[in-house]
Amino acid sequence: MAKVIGKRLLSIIFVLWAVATLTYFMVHVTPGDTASAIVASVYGPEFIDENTLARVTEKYDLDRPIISQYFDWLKNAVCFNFGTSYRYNMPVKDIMLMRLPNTLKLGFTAFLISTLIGIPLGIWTAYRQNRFIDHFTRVSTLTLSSFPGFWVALVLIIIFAYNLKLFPTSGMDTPDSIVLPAVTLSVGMLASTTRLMRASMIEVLRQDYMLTAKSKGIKKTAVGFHAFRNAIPTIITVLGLQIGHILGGSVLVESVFAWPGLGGLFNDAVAAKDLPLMEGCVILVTFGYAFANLLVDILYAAVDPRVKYQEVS
Amino acid sequence: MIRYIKKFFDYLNRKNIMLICGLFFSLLFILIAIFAEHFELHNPTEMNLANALTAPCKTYPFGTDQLGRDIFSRIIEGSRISLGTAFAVVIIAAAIGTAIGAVSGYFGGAMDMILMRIVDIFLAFPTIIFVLALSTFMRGNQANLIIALCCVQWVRYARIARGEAVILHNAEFVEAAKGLGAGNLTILFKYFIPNLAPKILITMSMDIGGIILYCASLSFLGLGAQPPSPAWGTMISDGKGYLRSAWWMTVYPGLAVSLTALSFNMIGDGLRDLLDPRMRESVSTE
Repeated sequence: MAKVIGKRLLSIIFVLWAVATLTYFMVHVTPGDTASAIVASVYGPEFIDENTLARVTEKYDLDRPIISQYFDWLKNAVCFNFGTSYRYNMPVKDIMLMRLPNTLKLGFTAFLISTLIGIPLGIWTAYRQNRFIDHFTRVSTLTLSSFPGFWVALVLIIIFAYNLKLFPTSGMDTPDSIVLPAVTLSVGMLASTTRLMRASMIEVLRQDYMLTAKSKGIKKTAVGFHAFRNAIPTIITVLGLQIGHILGGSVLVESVFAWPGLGGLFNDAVAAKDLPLMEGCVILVTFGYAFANLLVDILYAAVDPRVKYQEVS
Repeated sequence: MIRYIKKFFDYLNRKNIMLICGLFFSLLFILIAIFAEHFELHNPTEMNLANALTAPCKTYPFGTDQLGRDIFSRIIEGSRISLGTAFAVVIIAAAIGTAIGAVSGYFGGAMDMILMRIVDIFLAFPTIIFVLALSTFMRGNQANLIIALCCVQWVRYARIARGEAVILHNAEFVEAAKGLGAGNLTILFKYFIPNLAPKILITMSMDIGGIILYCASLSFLGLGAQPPSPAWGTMISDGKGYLRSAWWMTVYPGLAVSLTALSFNMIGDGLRDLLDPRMRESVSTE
């Protein structure tokens, strides 16, 4: 097991390095060089002239070849030091650490909503396969997953914030301002969780050992427990998928609701061409994603011994 | 009453109505996109400030936007952009991904290993973040949006094609062909491509709905087609400033995105049922 985890850790380090390098060269070898990007982002595009460009080039030490700049940046990035944001004039690390708890709060709430509804709903509809409730859920989850998240956000704002005046439209000043963003973020996840859970539960219910358990005459709840235990690996897969969904979805949802989290920060950084901030966000998100997936894999091996043997051999 | 509803649903399920409905509506939307100018009531780009922000009425069934343009006609015109982009992305990504995957699965060795590492890198972050990062050095237009989405989507096809190619590589009929002196190119084109095609085509049909959603999200964020061209995401983004006074600017384009994505997703769902009821819901990640 330790060997497998070690191998995975090595591959995570490789992927992180590759992503960092890719991002660095992608944003620094832009049409129009870095200096004008900085000027545009700090002072505004109308201030680009020779004087300011020269001053910025000197201040940010942009005269050196890009390779040597890259190695300096990489050295710092290893210590989570991504330089200073052009726009906020603050260390990127501090800005990200300030925003991170908000994203975690929003993501965790959305995660709770979709898991607490989706998993029981998936199990229930699996037991009712091909009955009315099953078809109804299948059609409605397919519909839910066809809604663009940002549009759901806007429609919720129109209905619940402007017309019914139940929740605030944006920001996070009051405790109830988390409701709309969290519901929006959970819609897509809820759909995929329910569908995945249902499919795996149906698969379990079809197995021979379920028939054995039933024909032994044990209690119905005990049979249900048998089934649930065998569906646990799917639940873990669902958790892993949701992390990706939260990270991707937060970009749009946080922008619409002006929720001060990482996703909105990343979108702002892209819009303002704030290169250090952008790189920091991409690397942090990749790091979180890779690490969460590693945890999911370890959990997976812990509950399902078959996986362990497969990976080692 | 409820019994009849139940019976109706049972009937629908037996006939795989999901697939039929999906095919029907997708075809309908494609036809609307092709013959867009025959469905438009007004010129989709003509401004008329006197009629700005008119609520839905007989002349303007979905109302007008802040520049007095007819939203219904803009949605119809926008279906061209949306469907055109989605199809272009799927076809290009599938072609590139399949070629790379098949070749690397067939030859194996160092090239295969490098390819799989590249795939790992592309899978290491959520699609939208990758495309946004790409967009910093691309000007916002439709061609660049297609390129950016292809950069992400080909990975799926490469993985599928590689997996299949590794299996095919050891298949007896491939061995036999080799024994008869067939060259690498012959084997790839004559044996691999026809055997990969069904799986790739199915994946393509399942992907289109998702790509329509990505296109909308990205044009909402300001990538892709620029105004005045009526991309659905751009229209929703325009409506964002008028949520209180003109809800129709946001709601209708979003419905168009959802319905189109839904009908293509129904095809995917129905196909999954048809081909392998046990494979249902095989996971598609972000």
